[in-house]
Amino acid sequence: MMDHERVVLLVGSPKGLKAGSSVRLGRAITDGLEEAGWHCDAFHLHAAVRTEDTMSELLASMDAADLVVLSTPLYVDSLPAPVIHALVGIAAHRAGANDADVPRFLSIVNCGFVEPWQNAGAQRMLQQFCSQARFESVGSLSLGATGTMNRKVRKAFKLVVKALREDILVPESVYELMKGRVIPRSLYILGGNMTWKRQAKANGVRDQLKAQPYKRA
Amino acid sequence: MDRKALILDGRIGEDMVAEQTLELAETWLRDRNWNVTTLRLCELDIAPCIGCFGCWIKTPGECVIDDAGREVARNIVGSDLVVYLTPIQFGGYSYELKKALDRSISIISPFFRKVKGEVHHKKRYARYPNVAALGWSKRRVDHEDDIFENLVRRNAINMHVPKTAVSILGPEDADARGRRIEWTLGEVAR
Repeated sequence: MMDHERVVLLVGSPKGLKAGSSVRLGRAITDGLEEAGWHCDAFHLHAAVRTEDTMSELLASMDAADLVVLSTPLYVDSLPAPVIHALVGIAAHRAGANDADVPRFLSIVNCGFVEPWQNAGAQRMLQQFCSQARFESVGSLSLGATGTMNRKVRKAFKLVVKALREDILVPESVYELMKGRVIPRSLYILGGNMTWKRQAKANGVRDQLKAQPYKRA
Repeated sequence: MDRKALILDGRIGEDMVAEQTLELAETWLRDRNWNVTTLRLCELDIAPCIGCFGCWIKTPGECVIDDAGREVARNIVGSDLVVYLTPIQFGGYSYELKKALDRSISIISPFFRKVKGEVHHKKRYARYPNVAALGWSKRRVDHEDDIFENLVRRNAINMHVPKTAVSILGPEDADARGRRIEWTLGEVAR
């Protein structure tokens, strides 16, 4: 077994640890590590920041971790507010860490647009976090289309798991495999707009989709 | 003409820079006959966005959570200028300001459109306010300015902001800071 055997999964979606794209993508990495004998603790950041006790539990788990995996959605071109809140707490805690204690950090950001590169700003914020909190950033994966995985993306995730198990850098080929749209743009716009209409119809508000409740007089 | 400015004060706890910046911004705007509303976000009851999209497909245009987050969104739409005051956290907004902005997606449409080769959301309203973003941090960090400016620019695309101005307030003296604040407001408070 490798030295790196404890991984902490941080899920940044309000949907938490049971459902949603963020936990699915995060588990795609940590499940692969657990198969190799790693121990995984998972935390829902929205829940963790609610009390000092839950945040302390998260920090204690991170103190023992060799690798942290953050999987989060993009909200308004950035990280969701509770994720920022948690990262501020983690960075403050890490300010007192031993110089030799530099755990690895992998981030996974998914957005509701079809272009994965719309996550770039949030990924740069996470680089800042790693620098300030003294984590070694080993990679940052970016997915569009709410984390839809095609054959190339699934292959990329397998390569990431392999690299983490072997304690080597995430290979550049991963980013090549993940850089494009997984769905053609025009199809995504058409399908997305149809989905909004269908969901609104199911809720009985199809004719109110363009409502302007705050319109100025 | 009654021009309305909304100041979203995203400070985290006690913050002398926030206090000085707020006072300078309010004074500058009121001296020019702006009707100013200031919301100190850390003192308001605003739950984080739960990512349900209910504000688009259940109660279109209004968040399903009935708290002060709705008032923030209503005030944004009702303003000609929105001023962000925020300590910079990892190059982005404070979590207090971000919480309010996450809850404000109700003011745009869920429907997608193409903008310069990318997918973004359509407008819900005919007009949206300009944005002045005033950020600061205790110590300057490489690339932070660029990340912050880029975030404001990206938000402007998705939130249909006609014009933005951004300043990062450093450890300069109060006079220099005042000049930067005046320049920033002057760029978008027309």
